[in-house]
Amino acid sequence: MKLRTVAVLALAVSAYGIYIAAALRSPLFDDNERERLAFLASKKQAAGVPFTDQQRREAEAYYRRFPGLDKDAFFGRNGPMGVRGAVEHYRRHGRHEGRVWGDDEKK
Amino acid sequence: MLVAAMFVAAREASDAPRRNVMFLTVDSLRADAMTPTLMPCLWKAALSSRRYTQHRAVSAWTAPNVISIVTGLSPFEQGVYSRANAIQDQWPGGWKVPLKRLANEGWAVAGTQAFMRADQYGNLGVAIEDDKDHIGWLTDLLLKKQPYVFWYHDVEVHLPYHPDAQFMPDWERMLPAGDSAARERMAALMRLSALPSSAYRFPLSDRPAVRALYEGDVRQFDAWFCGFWSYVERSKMLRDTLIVFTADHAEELAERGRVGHASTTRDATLHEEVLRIPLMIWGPGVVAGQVDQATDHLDIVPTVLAYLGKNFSTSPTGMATLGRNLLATNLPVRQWRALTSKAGFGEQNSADAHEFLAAVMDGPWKAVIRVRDEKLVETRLYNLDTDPTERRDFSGRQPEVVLKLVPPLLAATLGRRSPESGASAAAAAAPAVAPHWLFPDHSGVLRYESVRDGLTLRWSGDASLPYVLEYEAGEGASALSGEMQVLGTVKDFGKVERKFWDTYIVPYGRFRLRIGVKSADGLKSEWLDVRAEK
Repeated sequence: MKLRTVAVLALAVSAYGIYIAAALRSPLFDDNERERLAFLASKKQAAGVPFTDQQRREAEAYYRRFPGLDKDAFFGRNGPMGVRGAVEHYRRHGRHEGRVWGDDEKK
Repeated sequence: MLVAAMFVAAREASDAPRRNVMFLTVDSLRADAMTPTLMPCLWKAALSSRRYTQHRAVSAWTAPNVISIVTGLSPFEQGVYSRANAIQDQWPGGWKVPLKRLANEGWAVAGTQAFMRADQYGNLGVAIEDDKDHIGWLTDLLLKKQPYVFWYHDVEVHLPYHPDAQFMPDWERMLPAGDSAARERMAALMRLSALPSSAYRFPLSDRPAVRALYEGDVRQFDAWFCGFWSYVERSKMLRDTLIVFTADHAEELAERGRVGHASTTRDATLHEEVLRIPLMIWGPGVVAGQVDQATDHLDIVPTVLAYLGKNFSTSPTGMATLGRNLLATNLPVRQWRALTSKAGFGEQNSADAHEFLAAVMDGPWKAVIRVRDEKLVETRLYNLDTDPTERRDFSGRQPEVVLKLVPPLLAATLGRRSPESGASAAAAAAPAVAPHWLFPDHSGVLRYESVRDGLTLRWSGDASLPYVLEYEAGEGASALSGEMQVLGTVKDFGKVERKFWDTYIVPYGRFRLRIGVKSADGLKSEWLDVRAEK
């Protein structure tokens, strides 16, 4: 019993350690990384990578389903990526959180 | 919570960026143009790079050098001796070019410039994605965290030397007073993308003006590089990207009466002025510093593969001396060899070269041979220690050095013939009618606006047959003609950049095009007369 407790604790400490190390490198805590991603996002927008009407509808639907996200400084409509921020949010977070991507009409 | 933490940690680990590579090549950039005055941005960036001061090209025109840079293939192995050839798609023993193997393992391998669709760049394993610019493409991949190998080739320094106003030198002041012929030569230098040596001879008195105009283009390239390097720094590309900066070849600047390189002088030389180019490498773990050992383009792919942790062979035949990992601590000595044709110019059949120059270095000695119709017709021997500008031929006074260097070089040079292209190798049944042009469907003026989104020639006929596209361009001494083989009824040149159109197409002015079925003599379209304008 004691051994199992120690093993679970060790596992938990390791997992949290890795998580914190990764979190510190993420845009949430790392100013450089946040600045880098914002720069790339602005470049992507400037490059005019095609964004179809269907993609735009799906992005708006994603915002509607998750109130508040459209006001987010990074992923929101007025963030450096514009409505592409919705796509980026889904790619980085939404899909891992079990959120749904797609046009409302198709749901 | 524990499960969630482990899940997120695992995801972060899987999101860890893989290693990337960028080849940044600059057409015609000489090593001696790398000065803090001419290229302040590149010079500043170079201080954090590993710099190779004795780097040499392996041929005297673009295609064989680029092929060596991105495949590691020696020009003795490539089979690309004219602008109508490409390296073969299938190699003995199932060997594949390294970039194809990387693409198979998940790397996005691409270039974004339409000229990369030209025949001589075929089968390199580089996808041409010319619907995006280079910054858009790189940004996309960096955001996706998809590993990539990217090739960008800048043509700012290539002829014609016509920099924008802020970089334009006062070249007239550098010419002898009253020399109207010199002024005409400079006008040609600023207007034409090729200056055949049979028509344009530049005396030494032209050199200061020629050099100043060339340097104007170099300054203009550096201004572009400033912006690009700012992108590299702000995107933090160097955290996971190895950037290899070099030139395809260098440039003659009237040292011996010519200006340009083999495909623009329509002549061939392997003198130092056309070979000595910069090489710099940046990337994670790359220790800044200067390396004074001799290096060449064959060393680049082994360096890249070592960085990526791949052990692919870079030679399908074992014939070439394999390149080295330039980032290794100890760099073994390797013999430099070069081979050049005249890019198909001045040949009876532009797709099949009959004249070659080859060179080899051994210590201070550099032997250069000329082979015409499989016969050795000229041998030169230079001592680069005592005669770095290669003015004195020692071949008569050093027979033992000639005997050591020339026979193996000659053996490697004999038998060079271009492989049959895919189109010419295809079986063909003779059709009954000649093809006719669908686009353009009549002679006339072609302006940039009508081709900016893509230049695609189309003709009628059986799409499964091989065709021969004959072309004539320009007039007088600058005129060129040739043919390219095409499988099917479409020749897609891709999206055309303004700079490319103005630099390579407009100077020729008039073009004539005719399409014919390869296997059926006489089944040819009418000539189409097209005038290219800005």
